[in-house]
Amino acid sequence: MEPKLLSTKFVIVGGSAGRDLANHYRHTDWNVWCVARIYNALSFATLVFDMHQEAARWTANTHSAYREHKLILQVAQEPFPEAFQLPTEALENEFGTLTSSFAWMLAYALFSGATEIVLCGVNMIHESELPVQRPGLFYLLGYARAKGVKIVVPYTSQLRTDVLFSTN
Amino acid sequence: MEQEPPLRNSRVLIIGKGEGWERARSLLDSNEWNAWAIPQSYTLLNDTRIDLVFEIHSPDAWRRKKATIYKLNTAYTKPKLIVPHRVPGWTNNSYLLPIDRIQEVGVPLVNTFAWMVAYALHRGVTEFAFRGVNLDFEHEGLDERNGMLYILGYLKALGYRLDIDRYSGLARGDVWNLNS
Repeated sequence: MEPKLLSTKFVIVGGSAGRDLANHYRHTDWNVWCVARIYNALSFATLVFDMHQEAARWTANTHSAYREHKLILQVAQEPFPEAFQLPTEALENEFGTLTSSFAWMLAYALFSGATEIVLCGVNMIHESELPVQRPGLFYLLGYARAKGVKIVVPYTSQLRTDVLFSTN
Repeated sequence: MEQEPPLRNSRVLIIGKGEGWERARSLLDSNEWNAWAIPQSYTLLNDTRIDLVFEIHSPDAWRRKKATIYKLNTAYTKPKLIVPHRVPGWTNNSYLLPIDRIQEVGVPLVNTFAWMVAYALHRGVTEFAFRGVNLDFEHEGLDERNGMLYILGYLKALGYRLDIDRYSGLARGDVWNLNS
């Protein structure tokens, strides 16, 4: 079963500075998607992504999201057998290896027919994210631009480099 | 009106100076690709088969490689150098990049390779190959690498055919399924 979408507008929310901007989208028709680790601070999220496949990395937030029928995983498995499941094969066929949770979220939004995507609290500036995860996200942003999808990155985000300034 | 360099067809091979530049040779053997280089890779390849050499930097930056610029500008009856601004005495014989048209393409012009892609799009190119383009040098940092990945995502989404050396730093083992 696929999660119900409210519209073709998406807010993707990460745990970095600027995530509070997502509050602006509470009680709207935007789909608010967050990573599991911040779900306790973003209970109005409409879908919660936990892309970790190791049980040791699941948290209380993962369990909360599951209880509220908002959890989506790469592969539904115990103890979340009825979680939503990403169309991983289709996404990887279209976008290649998805190198971060945000890449999965962005790819799934594009796959779902997004017309507008806002990225809140997504910085991708940690040293471990620089070699592959951050370029992977930019690859998808370029893809989105070519498809005519409007991408909004708040001023607080470190994603707002010259690349985005020059093309938005 | 400025004359634009002739194209062999709608396929462009972009050659950098990074590891793997020599793998461009297998594509140079045929006439199936327009071969575009930067001055450094042109020097490395030392091959008259190169069709066009892009020098995007300001004249001040040319000092370090003025021998190459001078050679490109004077040694051939068929000009190979293409620059954004012609400088008397240095690039008299060069082609000029149509800056406005290139900016209209709308891709981020983060480095010379991005200029090459944008110019190719302006000229109606439909297929790209990259060799020796790694963006692993420290000064290329985040913006150049991310900008190029942004461009590759853009090209991929629009259905352009891509041929990227999967062992290059750009493809990182083809982690993004870049190749068509």
